[in-house]
Amino acid sequence: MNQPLLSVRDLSKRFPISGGPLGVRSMGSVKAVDGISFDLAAGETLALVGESGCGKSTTGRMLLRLIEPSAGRIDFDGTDLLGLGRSALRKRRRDLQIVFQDPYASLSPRQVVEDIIAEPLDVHGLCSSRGVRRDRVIELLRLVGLDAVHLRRHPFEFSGGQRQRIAIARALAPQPRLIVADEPVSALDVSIQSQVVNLMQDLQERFGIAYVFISHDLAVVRHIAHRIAVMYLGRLVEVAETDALFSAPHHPYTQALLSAAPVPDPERRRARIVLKGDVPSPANVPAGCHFHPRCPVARDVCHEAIPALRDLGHGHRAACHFAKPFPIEV
Amino acid sequence: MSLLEVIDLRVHLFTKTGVVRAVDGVGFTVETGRSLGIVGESGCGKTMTALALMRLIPSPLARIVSGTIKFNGEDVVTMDPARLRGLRGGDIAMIYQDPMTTLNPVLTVGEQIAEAVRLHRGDNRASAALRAIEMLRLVGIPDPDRITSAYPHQLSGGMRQRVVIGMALACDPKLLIADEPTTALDVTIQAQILDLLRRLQGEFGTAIILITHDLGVTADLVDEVMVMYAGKAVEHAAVRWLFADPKHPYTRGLLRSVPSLELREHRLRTIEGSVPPAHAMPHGCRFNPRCALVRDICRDREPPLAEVGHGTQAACWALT
Repeated sequence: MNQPLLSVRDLSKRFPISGGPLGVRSMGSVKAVDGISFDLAAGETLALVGESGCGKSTTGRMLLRLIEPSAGRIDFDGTDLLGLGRSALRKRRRDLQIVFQDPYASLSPRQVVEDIIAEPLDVHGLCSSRGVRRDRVIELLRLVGLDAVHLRRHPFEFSGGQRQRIAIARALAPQPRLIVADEPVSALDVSIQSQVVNLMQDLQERFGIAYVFISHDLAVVRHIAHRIAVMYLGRLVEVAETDALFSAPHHPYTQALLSAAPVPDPERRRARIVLKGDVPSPANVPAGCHFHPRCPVARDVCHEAIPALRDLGHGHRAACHFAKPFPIEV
Repeated sequence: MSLLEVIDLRVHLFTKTGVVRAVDGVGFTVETGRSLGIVGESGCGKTMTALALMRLIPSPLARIVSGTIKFNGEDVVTMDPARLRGLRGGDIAMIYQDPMTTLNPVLTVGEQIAEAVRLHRGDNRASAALRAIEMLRLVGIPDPDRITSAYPHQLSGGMRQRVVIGMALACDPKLLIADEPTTALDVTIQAQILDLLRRLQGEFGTAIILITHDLGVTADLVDEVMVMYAGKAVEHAAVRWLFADPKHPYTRGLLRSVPSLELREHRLRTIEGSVPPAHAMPHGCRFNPRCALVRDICRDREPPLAEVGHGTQAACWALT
């Protein structure tokens, strides 16, 4: 990879746990994200995949500094994002946009579509007149498959899929170079979900936008991502090109995750690795490898030593003492 | 006699903007120990169908306007309130998507299971408490003697759903209705719960109706599938044939639009357009505005469910 668009190093987030009678005493902290590093090229899609509480959404939000990181470094197009002051950060955010999971919560119910989509244009002073602003909003609506007739409507008049298109149009408005999409299709029905995934791919081809695509759905990720980073309890456990990850997952957690996904084929029932137990609470993580209490291949060393994210060739990295390709039948 | 026989069920919603035919002439049977999946997207009427089976639809907003629901030969639609209470949670149990809406936050999980057992099986306190622990053990909860006195908030999402399943099965129901039972769970936990449901069905011989939007979960668990679209059953088939040889254009479109784990396609397939709004259903076949095989008759008359090969029934003029 030449000069990456985005470079993340040792990024961490600790949330304090408060307690005591007044809720002010510090009771320790939750390591939501624990020293993760990755790069992203311009026009590339990196998927962050994992189960609830693995830190994927926290990571996404830290990239825009919607959550302030506790430690680490984020370089975006040569700028150290964490070194920026308030107004410089605000300017820089023109290049960094976000789409959230729930289009019922992310669009103001009181605003009309024109004002929702134009908000980033207004914030960054990108329109010289109301006419220019309206033309730009109409152009954006058409890009996402909506129309000028929708300009003066309110969010409640749209279906879930249409609302997500509006959220995408808003993110596109300031011509960003990176969009963080946090579970953008998880709330949508399957036939609508594929429409939105296709739309995001078309927009990437046309404008060269990079995506950090956060999802728990491996099948969706397989279609949209160039590379996949799998997270477990705040750490990256495996990073690989999409095809490599699916054909030869090296980390036992990735292997279990792939085999647990139900496939629409009744002939394939039961051919699964079913992990025992639950994901431990991030407030009380196991020592050594975070995955060891549920891992089918854990040995003594896993209880003590944290496995490093090692390069296994061709940029395929896995954090397991016993990482090996294990092409499973999904 | 079938365990459950539903004939021409119609549930209407009476809204300010008019009458919505949420369930519009749906029929199916479930035999003892068998499982049926009711599959469809938001608003297709699958949950309303499930609620109607136990007469739990929100009245007066919604009403069963016609149809028959026969459970073990008894008519549920005309059943008196006392018998209905025995049916709900006794002969028919239900589990929902979010275990926190089922569980009472101020009672321990053991008390909640025991309450159902005392009510429906007439157990005394001591034997009901033992039954609660037995059920917790059966659904794979570690250390059930201790967990029985835990409150729901002290358990993880997967553990809570296990408790709900244990509570549902504690009174030996003949039929379990599971409405999106794994949708709120992570995929590795979902795999555990699906395995559990399959194992318990084998042990208890309970019939299951699974309501879901997830075709993967459906393929995993059930014997037969009914696909619903806009209040109608559009296809009814053995699970093997539904996935191997789907007939209805909607079913085919739905299956094609599920992204595959094995193949990476350049573009995902979609079904053009979206489900019509409930108060503006198209004339004739409700799928006709989105259908590639549409003909004149489809805009004019509703297609009936008809046999279209290897026991599959589909409601489509293009197939008859």
